[in-house]
Amino acid sequence: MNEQPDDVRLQTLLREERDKEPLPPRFQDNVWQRIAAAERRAAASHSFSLANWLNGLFARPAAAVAWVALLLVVGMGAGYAWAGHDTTQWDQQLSTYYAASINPYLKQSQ
Amino acid sequence: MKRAVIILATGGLLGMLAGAGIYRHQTATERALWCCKNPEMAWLQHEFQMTDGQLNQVETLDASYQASCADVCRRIQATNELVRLEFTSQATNSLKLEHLLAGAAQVREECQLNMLKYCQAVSREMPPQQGKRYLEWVGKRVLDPTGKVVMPMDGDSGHGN
Repeated sequence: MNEQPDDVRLQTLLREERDKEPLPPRFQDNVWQRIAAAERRAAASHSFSLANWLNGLFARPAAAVAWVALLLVVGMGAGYAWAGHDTTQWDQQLSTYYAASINPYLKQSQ
Repeated sequence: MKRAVIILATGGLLGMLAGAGIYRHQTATERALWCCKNPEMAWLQHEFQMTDGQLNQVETLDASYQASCADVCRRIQATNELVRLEFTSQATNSLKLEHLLAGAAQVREECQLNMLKYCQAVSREMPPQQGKRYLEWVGKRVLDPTGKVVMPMDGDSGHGN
């Protein structure tokens, strides 16, 4: 295999450079730390864009009012449904108690 | 971000308060029924739209019926116990068992007749439409479970009153 003259020169230079100045201590650790820091910065910029998006969502007063109104309607609907469930259950219980109070056979089976 | 959290928290709080208010308003009547001395009777008054005077009449009927009902309950228990003892004994006398079962049927018939008379008396104390509705409701709730019903107008009871 014939090496090009440029390659030979480059290799010679590199070898000289390596001999001249050794790698600083903890060189590899430092490289990995810098990679990790770069990744953290990227993640932080993502969360920053999420916060921006949320702020944009609530920035306009009309949107804020709409969100509050929506939560209000959801709360009212939940209260109404819950009340309907409970009143039906109580009505059934009381009607069963009354039926049992007048029917000795139902009384005995309870 | 802080603005979004404030808006969501405000909306959530207002929603919960509104939900609780609606719940309290919608369940006020039923909650009041449970606070009464006699919730079943309070329920009857509410369900069949009776006045306080009508409720008083029904309560009087009920007190008198409950006294006779307690006696019937004791007799049902005693008859059932006799039938059970005879049935589980080694030397079952089929004639005696037959006689006991006839007695049990007689108690059941008397009980049903009393109950029907009570229900009809109660329905007469209610507004006419509600009385009709009460008889339909009570027919499903207290008569069907026993299967056979002896109607007072059949005229074939021969027992009770």
